[in-house]
Amino acid sequence: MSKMAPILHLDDVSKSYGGVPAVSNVSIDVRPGEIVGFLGPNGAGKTTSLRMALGYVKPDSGRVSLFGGQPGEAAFGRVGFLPEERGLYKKQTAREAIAHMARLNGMKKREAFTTADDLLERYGLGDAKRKKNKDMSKGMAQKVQLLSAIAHDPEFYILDEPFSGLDPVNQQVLESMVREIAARGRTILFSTHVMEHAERLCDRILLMSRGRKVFDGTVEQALNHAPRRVIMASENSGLGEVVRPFAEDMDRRDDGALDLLLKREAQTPDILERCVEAGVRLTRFEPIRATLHEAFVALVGEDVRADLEADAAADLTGEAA
Amino acid sequence: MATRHTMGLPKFSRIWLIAMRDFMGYVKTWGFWLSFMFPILGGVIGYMFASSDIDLSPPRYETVLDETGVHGAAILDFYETEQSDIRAKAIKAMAALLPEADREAFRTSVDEDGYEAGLSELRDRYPTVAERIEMPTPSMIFVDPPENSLSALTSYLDGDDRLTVGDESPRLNGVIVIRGTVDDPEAQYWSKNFNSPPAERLINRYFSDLAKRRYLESGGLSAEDYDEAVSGRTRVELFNPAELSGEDEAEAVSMLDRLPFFAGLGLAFFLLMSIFAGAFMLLTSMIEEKMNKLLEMMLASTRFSEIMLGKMLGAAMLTFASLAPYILIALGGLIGFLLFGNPEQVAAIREAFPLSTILTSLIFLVLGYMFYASILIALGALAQSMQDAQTLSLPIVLLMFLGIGVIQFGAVAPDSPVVAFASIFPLTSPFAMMIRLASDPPLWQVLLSIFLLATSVVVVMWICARIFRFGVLSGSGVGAIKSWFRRVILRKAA
Repeated sequence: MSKMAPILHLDDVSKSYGGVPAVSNVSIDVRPGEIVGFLGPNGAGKTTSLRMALGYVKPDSGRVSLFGGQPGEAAFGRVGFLPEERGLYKKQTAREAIAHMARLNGMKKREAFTTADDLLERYGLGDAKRKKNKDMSKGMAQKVQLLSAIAHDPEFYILDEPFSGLDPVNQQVLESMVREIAARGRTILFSTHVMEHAERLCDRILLMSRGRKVFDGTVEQALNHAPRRVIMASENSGLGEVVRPFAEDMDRRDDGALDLLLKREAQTPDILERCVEAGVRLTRFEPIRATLHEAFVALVGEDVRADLEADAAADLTGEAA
Repeated sequence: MATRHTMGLPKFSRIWLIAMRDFMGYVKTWGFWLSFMFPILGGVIGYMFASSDIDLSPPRYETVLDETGVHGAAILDFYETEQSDIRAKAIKAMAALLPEADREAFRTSVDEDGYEAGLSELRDRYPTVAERIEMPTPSMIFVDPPENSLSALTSYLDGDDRLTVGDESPRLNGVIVIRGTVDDPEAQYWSKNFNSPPAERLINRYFSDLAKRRYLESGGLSAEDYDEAVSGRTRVELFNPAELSGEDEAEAVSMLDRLPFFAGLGLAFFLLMSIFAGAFMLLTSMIEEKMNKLLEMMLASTRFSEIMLGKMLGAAMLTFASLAPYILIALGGLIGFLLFGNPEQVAAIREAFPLSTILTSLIFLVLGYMFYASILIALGALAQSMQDAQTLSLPIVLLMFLGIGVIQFGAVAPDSPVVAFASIFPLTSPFAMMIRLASDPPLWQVLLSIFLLATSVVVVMWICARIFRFGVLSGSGVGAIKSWFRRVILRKAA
């Protein structure tokens, strides 16, 4: 495998369950050393795509390649997978749980327990290493499961919603862990609903909606899809009239300033020029940086709305019947 | 962080890890140790009872109201004769401990002179043997009626009044009432215990004997002569054609020849018990896995089949561990017998259990367990609660009852066409063939049965692995199967 050959390659894969398409004609590449965020609303097809990537389910059509071959046994020990739904054996201790998964991934017994102890110490669970999983808090148990998934130090990490259920402090700890793993040159693909994490961590973003890939690019490229906003205020009256041609939408804020949602073709220098020409003396001109959340809503908001409307219509039809 | 490991362990290592995790999960529970210690606890409790003065079945006090003037006393004589016979048998059984030359003479003297003479002889000549005799205690003690009418005895039967027997005041348990005439008696038994009381059985035996005597005497025959003629009858001996060779006279079938049959019966029950014991563990373990959501994570490093086999092995290990005290006691006894037992009997046992039979039995034991265990794992993967598991496992429990039926039927007719068919049909062959192996079935039937069972195991495991995979990944249960059936088989819209 060449250095830049993708670790994971989904080539035009589709999968249906019970005749209902879950993933349609999706192609994805994840290259060595990348941190890729896998985003999308609920039911977008993220988990099905990850399961196809791991070989748990076979695509109805298309091809999946993991480390240049078929997913499955050849990749055992090279992948660390944290599924969305998670848990632990209640009667195992934290170190037993981590060592068990590490041993299933090929580690020797002594090494597995030493690694488990090291990881628990490093991530602040040293005191709980002999504590049974059933006696741990939810946050602690989640950290233990994450450590179970990564203890064998795989080449490729697939983390399905790793931040869900964690409090802000533990989210921060997990973010540091992801950075640490990435710093060692490992490849990470993680799905999340928390846009801030994706924005801070990812080299690239894959966005799914209704089983289709709707975006694949860098964070900056994603942000270009987000609507741009400017906050403006002036000493004169009539600012609203002057800038209206540039605005898709416009709100008056509590402090009296105008919040403009810019039209796609509108350029900020043009707005400034128009204000000078109209003799408007600006006291505030503040372009607002778009967030990934806004880009996400812009890219898939229509699909989500359509789904909600379809669900509501189905409910009504059902009730009527 | 540890160094990277490129490839997974060999398959068996992963199977072993999963099996050990399941096994240790159960071994660390109180329930396991309670069942493990059960034989020891049972022995301790039994010893405590044996060494205490607690009488678990004290004799019943009975009395007789006889209006005929004959049968009451005759019943008591009849009972006394029976008790003497029982004691004589107990004394005669001690002959096995005497020098071989003295055994027959001792038995004859007990027959002729009675048990008391035998007991005296033992005390005089073999005092150490006499000390080991445990004379059977009578189940009933007959006393004179404290009142002469049934109505007056009611308060004794109710326990309001007590008997006086020496220093004790026992309760009267029952009253035998004989009415009518000597030639046409009527018998009643009054007691608060009417679930097969020993006095009722005694009366039936007495009148049965009386009817026989009267009938024989009406023809001028004596009952004693009849009994002697019956005891001197020709007795049938069983022979096995497999033992017939050349002109040599074959030896009749003995208890040793029957041992392989009993061993097969025991192994069939052992398999049944293993499946029953393992079934609960497999079902609960699968539900635990589903609730823990760990399987999906494990699948990144383990194959479905390895998880299934690991769980089967874990359940089998647990079953063996639970039964270990019994197995060890049996093995200890067997090894002790082989080392120190009668050389002729040891040789006969070795001959009765050739290696081929032992290996074939083990093959059926393993395949039978895998067959049923894979079905149970698949059902466990579909279940979402214990209620689901119980409902889903009901058909398998019914199938195992079929196995019990086959074992019972095979015990009385091991070569019947039904058992022959059952020994080839994969659902019942593990149970039936173990019983049939003792009667040396045709080799082609054994091979066909192994082939069909092994093929069925592979097919069932393949199907169950798919159900298991589906059950685990879909997270749904039986409803999803119904939906699949409607959609794919009935071609109805989703």
